[in-house]
Amino acid sequence: MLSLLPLLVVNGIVFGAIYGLNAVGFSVMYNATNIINFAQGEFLMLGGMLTLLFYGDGRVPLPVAAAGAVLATTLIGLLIERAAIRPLWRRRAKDWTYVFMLFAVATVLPNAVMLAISRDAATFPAFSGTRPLALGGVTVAPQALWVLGLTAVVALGLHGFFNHTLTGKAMKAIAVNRRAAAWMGIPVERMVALSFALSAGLGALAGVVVTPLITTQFNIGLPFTLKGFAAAVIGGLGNIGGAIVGGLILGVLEALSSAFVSSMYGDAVTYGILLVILLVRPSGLFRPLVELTQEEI
Amino acid sequence: MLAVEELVVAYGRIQALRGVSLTVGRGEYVGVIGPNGAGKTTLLLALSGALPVAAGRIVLDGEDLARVPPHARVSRGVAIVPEGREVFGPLSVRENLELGAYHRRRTAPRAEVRADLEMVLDLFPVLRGRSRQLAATLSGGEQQMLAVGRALMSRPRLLLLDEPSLGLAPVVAAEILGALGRLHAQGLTCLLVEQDATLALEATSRSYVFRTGLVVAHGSSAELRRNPLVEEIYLGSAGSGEC
Repeated sequence: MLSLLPLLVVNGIVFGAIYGLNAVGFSVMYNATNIINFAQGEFLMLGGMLTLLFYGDGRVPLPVAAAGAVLATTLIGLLIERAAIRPLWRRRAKDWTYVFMLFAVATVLPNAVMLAISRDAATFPAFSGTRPLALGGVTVAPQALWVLGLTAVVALGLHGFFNHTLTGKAMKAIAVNRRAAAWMGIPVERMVALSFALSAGLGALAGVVVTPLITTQFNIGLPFTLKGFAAAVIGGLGNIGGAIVGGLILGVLEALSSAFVSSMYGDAVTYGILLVILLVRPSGLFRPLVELTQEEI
Repeated sequence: MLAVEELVVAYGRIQALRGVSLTVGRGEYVGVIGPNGAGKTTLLLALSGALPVAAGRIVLDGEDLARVPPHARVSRGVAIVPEGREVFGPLSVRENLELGAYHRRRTAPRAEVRADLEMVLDLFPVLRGRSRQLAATLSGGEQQMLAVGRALMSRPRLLLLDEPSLGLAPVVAAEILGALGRLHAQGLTCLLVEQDATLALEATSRSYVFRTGLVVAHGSSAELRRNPLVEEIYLGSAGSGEC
């Protein structure tokens, strides 16, 4: 069993990267709005399912179908913001109102996809074939490298966005103090819309790269929402690097506990550890990007 | 430059401003004084767009600002240094200042924004050494300087100041008011709201006295210092200090 350890860890890292990508989606939206997006996993589902729909067994080249799916999901994110979030925002609704609104969205979306696209699990070809690559002592599917590469690019890109661009800083400013942000001339509503577009696009991208590894279905969103949220909280909600690290921790733990304990108890072990981390460090392992003081809340 | 006409602002059914009219001319330094609850802060929040106007007009250079959303008012030249500073605590001093110039991101060359940043750091040298520090870790006085600096980064034509001396040691308050005085001497138009009448009447050239949402007196600040009404309004709070 121990000889499997490197393989398990690598597998854990690959799934962890996906959780991390999803966690990053949570963090982006949280940084701009303090909203916890319980529909985050649905964006991942949409990325995969819409690619399948557009791809249609090769009618359209896969990269085109994937790009179309990411674009369409981004637009759906914008639509959700406009139709479900902005009316609440304008009336300064309580934070939990958003949670339930997005939970409702997270229930409607999979059903719509089931009716409109398919109820079956399906997949599309891996980007660079399926011949496993030998790396050190372990073999890895080429698609796994796509997952890791994309995660790295997204993490670096977002880190740069929030720390080195004025738009990224303006997004953080909105989360800290909406009124003062408006005084700076920051168009608050447009920024919120941008954060939805970003989260949706990133979620869809994650869905596109992960589908060849795991297949996709209308109902895969919720588990990814929960894992992504857990990863974001472990890493310090709002911290981009923390979200990725949180995802990796979760992924590796899950792989190890499924192998050494039982796959039945995988979730129990994973969430048990989350419980312990939260008890020891309630704000997560890393400092949140936007750490609000009691006064600002 | 600014004409406020019969302005009414209400919190629900309670009118905080009950028909206030005042003017601020280009290059003027105008004060608004009055006791707690007189509507001074409400006036600035309405001018900056943070509170909706129930009736009346806010005319800036001929344009009614009532329909201009808050984020667009700064590009009309209105900047505010709010009560309680409201700096972005989790962001660095430098980031706070950069965001002050946000509305100019497409119009102003980078070199111009950098030059303004230098100007602010020259005005408040203590901020220079702290530019990478998070704003939340600054002292109250430093945060106030940052709030003024952040507003200046927008290159305002009209600077709204809400109790910039509140809660500060007298020497720090004097430093900040001194800096504002120098800016005014260079031509900046300022509207200063202060509970500390002595301070405000010394800094400004003309003032309005507010009481329960109405203007009860106005005139040159020098005259108002001798006005028995001002003394009467403040008699209750005189000697008890600011809190």
